[in-house]
Amino acid sequence: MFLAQVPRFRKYSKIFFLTFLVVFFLTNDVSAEEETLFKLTPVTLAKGAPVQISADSALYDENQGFAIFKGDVRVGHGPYKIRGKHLKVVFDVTGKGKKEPLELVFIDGVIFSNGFEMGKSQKANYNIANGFIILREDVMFKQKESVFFGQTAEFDLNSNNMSFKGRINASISTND
Amino acid sequence: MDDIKIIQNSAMLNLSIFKIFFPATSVLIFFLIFFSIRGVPEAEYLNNSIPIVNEFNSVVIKNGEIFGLTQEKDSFYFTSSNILYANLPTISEYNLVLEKLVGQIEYSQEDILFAKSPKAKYFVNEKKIQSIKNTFYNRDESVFGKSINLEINLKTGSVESSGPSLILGSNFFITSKYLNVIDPEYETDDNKMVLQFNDGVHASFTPKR
Repeated sequence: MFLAQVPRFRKYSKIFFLTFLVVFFLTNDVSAEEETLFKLTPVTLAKGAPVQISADSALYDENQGFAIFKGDVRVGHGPYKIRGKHLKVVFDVTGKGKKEPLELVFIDGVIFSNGFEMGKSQKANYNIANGFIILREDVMFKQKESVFFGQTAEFDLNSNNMSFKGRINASISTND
Repeated sequence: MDDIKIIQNSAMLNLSIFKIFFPATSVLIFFLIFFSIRGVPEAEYLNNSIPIVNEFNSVVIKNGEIFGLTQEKDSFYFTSSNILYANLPTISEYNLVLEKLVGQIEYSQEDILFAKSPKAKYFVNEKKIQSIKNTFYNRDESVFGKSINLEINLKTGSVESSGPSLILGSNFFITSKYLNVIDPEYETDDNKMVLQFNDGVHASFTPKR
């Protein structure tokens, strides 16, 4: 009786083992996607506030619907200040759109600030319509005296929240 | 009696000098004027010696109009209320003073640059129009520009401003110290020229949000 069940046990043990592995890796992935939320100092952006940009040089291509700013690029949008070296402004060139700026794409280093908190990374996307700023690659976030390091930081400017994704290294000040 | 004869002879002699001298002088002056204006460009424009050119990289100046084709096959047409010719010693230095200049460069069917200037200069040899104050805009008037020291190169069709420039759209403006209007590297059906700004660029865009 016992010997007769051995092959069946071997067969099911393999299935159990594979299931265990799948569940283990899946749960690990889920934990990697965990978010750490930060509450930002509330600031208000007036409706229809223009995006002000100053740079050393610019290229405006109406055909492709973008403008590229290079050099010491400084962007001001209400209380938000962004500084970088290379900025691409993407416009709405669809039939309904009236060439409004949709997104600001920074590469080659960027610093973002709302006047209280500060974020720094290699790349950033500012979706003006949705009010989201995503910092990517070597992200540093400073709130008061505490500094956090990670790979992706997402700023929700509507709810004044910031979420860090992935592994975080932090230097938290006890004075806060 | 002898005295009377002498007086008569001298009077006849004077009369014959006037008869020959004045016609000869007037003919000489005519030829001098004729040969002096032969080298001036307006003489060539007026005697229709320049054919209506339809080749690339061509400029025709006729009856107050400047038109032709750039080497990029873009057609241009400029007109002025008053074309003044400056007399300069050699042809290479000839330039035309164009008052109330109005014109256009047709880069594509969809993209036409219209330009206006109260006073401009056309340099014959360089095939360039230089003007101090300018306004320009494209066909759908999506972009309107103002600049100082604009140079329109009729050979290449490029437009360059070495003075402060302002470009306006319905919901944006860009200012800079230098502006170039350049041909895009790619080809599309409704090609519009690319605006290149340099030195002290400032821009403002109004988003939907």
